[in-house]
Amino acid sequence: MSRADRRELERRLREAPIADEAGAEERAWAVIRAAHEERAPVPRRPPVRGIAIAAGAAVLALAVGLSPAGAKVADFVGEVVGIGATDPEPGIGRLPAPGEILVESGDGAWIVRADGSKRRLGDYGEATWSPHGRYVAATDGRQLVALDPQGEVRWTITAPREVRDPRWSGTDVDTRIAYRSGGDLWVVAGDGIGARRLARGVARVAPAWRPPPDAKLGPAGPFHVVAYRERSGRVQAIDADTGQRVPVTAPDRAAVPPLGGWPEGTGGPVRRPGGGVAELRRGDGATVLVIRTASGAKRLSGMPPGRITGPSWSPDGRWVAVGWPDGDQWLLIRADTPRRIVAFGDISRQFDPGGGGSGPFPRISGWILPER
Amino acid sequence: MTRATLALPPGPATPAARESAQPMSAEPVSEPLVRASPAVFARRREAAVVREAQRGSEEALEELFRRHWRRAHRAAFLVVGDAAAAEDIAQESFLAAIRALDRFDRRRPFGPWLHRITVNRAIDHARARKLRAESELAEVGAAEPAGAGISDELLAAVADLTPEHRAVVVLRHLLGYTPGEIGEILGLARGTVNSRLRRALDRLRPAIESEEG
Repeated sequence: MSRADRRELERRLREAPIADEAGAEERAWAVIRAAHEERAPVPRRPPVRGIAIAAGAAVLALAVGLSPAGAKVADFVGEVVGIGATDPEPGIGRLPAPGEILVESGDGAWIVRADGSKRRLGDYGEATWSPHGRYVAATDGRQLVALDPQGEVRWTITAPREVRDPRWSGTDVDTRIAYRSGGDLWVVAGDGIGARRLARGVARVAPAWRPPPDAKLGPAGPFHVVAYRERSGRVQAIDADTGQRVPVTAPDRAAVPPLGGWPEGTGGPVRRPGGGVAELRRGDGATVLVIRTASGAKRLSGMPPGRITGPSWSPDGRWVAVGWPDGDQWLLIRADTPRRIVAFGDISRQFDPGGGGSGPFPRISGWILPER
Repeated sequence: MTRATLALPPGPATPAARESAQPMSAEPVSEPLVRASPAVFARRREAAVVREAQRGSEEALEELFRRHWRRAHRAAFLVVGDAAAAEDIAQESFLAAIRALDRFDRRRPFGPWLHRITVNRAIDHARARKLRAESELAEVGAAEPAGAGISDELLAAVADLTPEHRAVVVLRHLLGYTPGEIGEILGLARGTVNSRLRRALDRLRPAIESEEG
């Protein structure tokens, strides 16, 4: 290609018309400004330690990249971030924090109690806790099912098409479940009454509830706002009670997965009980767990090689659980200081007792302290 | 929120200068023995803007945003070929950059950092879209192919490239990075960047020649 051709290419790239380019800039600025206002400036701290840890992690990641699946992940993570080394326990032992873990596996939905015992709820998919852990919503083809923790069905509703991505939110007395069916977003009250379509043309990614407003902090806005992504890729937010669209906030945008879902090895920010978030990110070929709390941000580099799933917070906000399918382990990482790690191994067979554990890797759907 | 008053050197005079490509690596700023070149001056000014933004200045943040948004948005658009998706990608990339601003090393230019986030997200989006188009065509239906919003023949030819090839073309010929810098941004060897560029330009040549003819 001649120099003149390249100049022509460059000119065309610079001048390619973009629909509503100016509007996009103003919309983006409004979102960025709002996000900036939410972010309190933090005191500067010497970056040397963080950089040194990251550099060390990168070197170790190369060194341990050849570790066989099922290796002592805690040794690996521990060397990098200073966590005490622990062999993975065969099976699931006592959880390091109070609460119960809801699990999705190829064999159905399960609950793991604090003592490590398990109960299978049934052959359901995409299980999600109710806000206070009293019930579980799950899918069964075109049915949305609400169960109690013993697996008893409390109610079912049938949707026009397959139900996907149920998400349960709300207050002590008034909850809603949002879910997708076909290309539509639906909502139903927590007692299974009043299912209705909220939006059409919804992308195949999970909706996300906005946390209910705290009335003590000022005038309360709508209590049940759900954000979702349209097929066009745009994020919208809607008041589930009135069906009216409301302005999209930066946290809405951050909470809804991109088209096609979160890229491999990453996930959206997961809110920590008591404030803060945890987030998986990919950087330089490795997964990094980013934890942000009021006391600052931590980047836990040196996660084991391969795919990492999660994260989920423990109800006390002290532990972060992630899955490591290649190692067939769950890693429960102490988020504050001193950091520790608990690794549970042989996870696939734990949730497929009659089979060989060859189904999808069991995913932690949520870790909650039930209010029963 | 408190709006800090900025005490910064004056910015570049023209929009073109404001949007000039930034070098990938920058030397630590030191006091000049001679009058600084415009590039050094611009780099120093940007470091001052980033510092003020880190301290919470909305005014500085807006300057940073206005300086970099259009090129990031355009880069995302040319990689994904969809204006709405490009807006989301550029916006989310900017948000990610702002969230990480406290950890940003001011000695480095902001543009390449933002472009790294934006272009890699755009590639991920374009790949996911391609997979989705193959696996969910019947149901999704409304999903447009990349480049559906582009009518220009040459730009349509760009849109026909793979996301990886589009990205190197955009980084080289829109954002002005060298192959070595593109390799850093995309995590590729320089040779891989060069071969992708060569193949991409070979595929674009007929579109340019037919328009010239």
